Amino acid sequence: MTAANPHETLEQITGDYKYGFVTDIESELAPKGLNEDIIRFISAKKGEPAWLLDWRLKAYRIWLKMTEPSWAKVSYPDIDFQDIHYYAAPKTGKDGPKSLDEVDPELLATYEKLGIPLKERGILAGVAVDAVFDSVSVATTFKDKLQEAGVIFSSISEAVKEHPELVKKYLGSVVPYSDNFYATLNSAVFTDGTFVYVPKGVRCPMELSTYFRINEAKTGQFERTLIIADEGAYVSYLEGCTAPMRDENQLHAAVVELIALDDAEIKYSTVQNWYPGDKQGRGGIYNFVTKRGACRGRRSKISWTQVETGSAITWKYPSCILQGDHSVGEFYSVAVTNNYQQADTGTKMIHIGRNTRSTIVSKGISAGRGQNTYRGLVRMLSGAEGARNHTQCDSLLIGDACGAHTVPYIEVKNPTAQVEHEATTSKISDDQLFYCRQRGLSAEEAVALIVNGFCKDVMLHLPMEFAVEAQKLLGVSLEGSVG
Amino acid sequence: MKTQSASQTNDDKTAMFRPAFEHMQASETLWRRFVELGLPARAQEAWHYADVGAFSRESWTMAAPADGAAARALLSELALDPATSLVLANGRVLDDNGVEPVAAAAAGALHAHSLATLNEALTPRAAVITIAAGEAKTLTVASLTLPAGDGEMAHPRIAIKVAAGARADLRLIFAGSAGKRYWSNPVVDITLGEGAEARLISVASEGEQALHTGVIAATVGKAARFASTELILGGRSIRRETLVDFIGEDGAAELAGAYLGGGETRIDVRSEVSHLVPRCRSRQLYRGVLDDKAFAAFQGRVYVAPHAQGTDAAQSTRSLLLQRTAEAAAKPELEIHADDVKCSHGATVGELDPDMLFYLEARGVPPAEARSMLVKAFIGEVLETISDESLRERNIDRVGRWMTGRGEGA
Repeated sequence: MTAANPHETLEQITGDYKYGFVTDIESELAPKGLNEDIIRFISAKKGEPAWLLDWRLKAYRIWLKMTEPSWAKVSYPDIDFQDIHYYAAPKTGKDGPKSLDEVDPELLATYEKLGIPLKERGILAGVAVDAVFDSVSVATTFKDKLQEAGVIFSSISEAVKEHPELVKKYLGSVVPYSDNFYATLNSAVFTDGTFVYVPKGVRCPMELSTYFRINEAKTGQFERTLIIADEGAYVSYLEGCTAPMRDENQLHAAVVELIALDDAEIKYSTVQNWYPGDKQGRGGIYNFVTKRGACRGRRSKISWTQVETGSAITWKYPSCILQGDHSVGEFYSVAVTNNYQQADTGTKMIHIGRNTRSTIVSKGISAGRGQNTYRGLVRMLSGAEGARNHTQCDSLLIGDACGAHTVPYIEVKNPTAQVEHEATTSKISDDQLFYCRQRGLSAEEAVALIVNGFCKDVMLHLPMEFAVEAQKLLGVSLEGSVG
Repeated sequence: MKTQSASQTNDDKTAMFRPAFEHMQASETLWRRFVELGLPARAQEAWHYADVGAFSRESWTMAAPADGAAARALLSELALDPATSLVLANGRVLDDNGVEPVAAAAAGALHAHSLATLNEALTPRAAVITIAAGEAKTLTVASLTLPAGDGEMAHPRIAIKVAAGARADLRLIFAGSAGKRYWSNPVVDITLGEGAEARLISVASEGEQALHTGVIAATVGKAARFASTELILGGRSIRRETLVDFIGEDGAAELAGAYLGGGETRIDVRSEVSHLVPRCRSRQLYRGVLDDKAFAAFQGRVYVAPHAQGTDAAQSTRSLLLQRTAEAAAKPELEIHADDVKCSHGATVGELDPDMLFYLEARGVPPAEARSMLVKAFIGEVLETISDESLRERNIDRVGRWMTGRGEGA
């Protein structure tokens, strides 16, 4: 498929969905729509044990009775859940561009600005991997190293086969299959995802990333991630990447579950830059994600850091259930909405144990006609003796047609718990811009500089190399928003 | 946000009110609007923390006109002079002091409010207080609910029109019979003309079995100033809402509220300030103290319309929990559609600072008194917005008495 511009590409691809795939790959593609047979088909394709199929079917039966949530401040046309293929074998690059020459020059220009190495640009643009570079050797060295440490890092389908006891024990233990509309749909139809288990006392020797797994299998639209840090373990996981990724699916409904046992720590960083739709708000990914971490153990810690610049609609609330005494939850977020993008994102901090602590720092940036909502819940249950929360929500508005909204819920059932919430809203002032312009910066550079300053508190929490890329990304995402 | 449409269950519950509509010969148009809006439900964000079950807990009937002697007895208990006050008993004007009930439609902002619609339908004639251009008026309004038995409701309606350049100083008291399960659903609809000024001080001190759902809706004209201070002290289940619409530029609004809950009281305070035009300023200050098994929620919303540039809105809410069994919730919400704005909010929930208690106790102040002092100081922030000294002192005393009524506390 050649692309005149990325928007057309997406339309053509969604067009493909409308009219179905060619017959010769039918065996690898479930027919459109969702019913129990499709779920059995998915489960059979993956060679799953009976308990997992039962689990999926239970989820499906509950999903049938659920209604789509309507409380978020986002609007989009109704989704026809029967007009989606719920199973397609991993793409082999057959329908992607054959080489970089066939890729949209605008996309290539963006890669250039982000400073993405040449050999990686092809992967991101969806060029058949073999044609660009072979990462097998890279992957192997790094698998050996993990194996030595005893860390399990595999696809969730592999884990179901090789470590069924772990998967069975933890899958759905944080986000149950009946949790919410999208998570329940995901439980019924998830095709793949990542599984990580870090054994007792092990500090994972490297940062784990989905990026390494890109060419192993495209995880698709219903991704499921399960990360377990056993007692005293530490793991840092990076999800997504800064470059705009080619993606065939408009609806994404992923589920991420994190479990931290005694003294364990999980750091989960996300940079999400999926196709946001064109300047008129056509197309773009709907990102409806359920992310939740359980700090089960004493002194355990889960830290979410996210930089959300992509997707037409973002609906995600990475949360922490602070069950273990002295456990810590953190949420650091930057969300950018430009053009017609809509983001309704935030977190939930549920304090159950004694002396649990949570910190929320949310930075929302709205430009163009973007709508950006922070929605968060801090709940102190009656056993949360001495618990603490501090929340800081800041919004930055660029232009007079965008919106910034803050909807925090605070619920306290223990008098010794302390909750503090602060929010501010401001804009990039003409004075600030003038000051920068006077010193020779272009309007765009000035915006990037000011925005990066605004987001610094969050960027500090990203792993080093990610932070550098994310900074560039902020500038690129806001191009054209001023002047 | 997608709006919640009236569901089947809402229809069923609104049907309970049909006899009252027929009894009052209320308009069919309002009946249809009421049914369409339905009774408040949890799924509606504005009613998220409300005691929504209370509206259908009894089969409510309209309270008959109250006995004048009983009303006067309650007034003297409240230390109010009937000669200088406008008194409404069971929603009807008792001592008019020149105020004639007039048929009047509710303000537009209330059309989407189901309980205000119920109020408008069941009390078609509002007590209208008009302050002519350039004049100043001070008035006390007492709204008393004196039911003959349990399950009676009253829907007092007060409309206040403050003309251009006029000034109104109003004190509102909501009270009623102790020990009776009644429902008072008052609506105060206030319009401020250009450059007008209105100061409202409201005290809700209903009977300990009472359900109270009151709304103050203010429409603020160009360069007008609206100030409202509320003190919520008594009742079984109390919801107080303050809605402010800025319709002229350079307007200002100051909202302050203090709520004290003990026993199993449920308090639900909500404010919604809509900056519809440029360069208006709003301030909100809310403080709550909860004891025993009381629950209180504060929901404050600031809305800034597209092009309402130069908006300056600030909001602060804090709650104190005096007991392990008390609960507090807060939802300070901002919805902003313009960029040249200054908006902020802050919210905290916690207990009395043990260090402060220790400081006082170390200086020989008995624990109960120390707690009372700290609570008074905490609520004092709100009461300081009352400029009339004697009125301020009287309200601080009310807080002191409330604390004494709590006994020794923990």
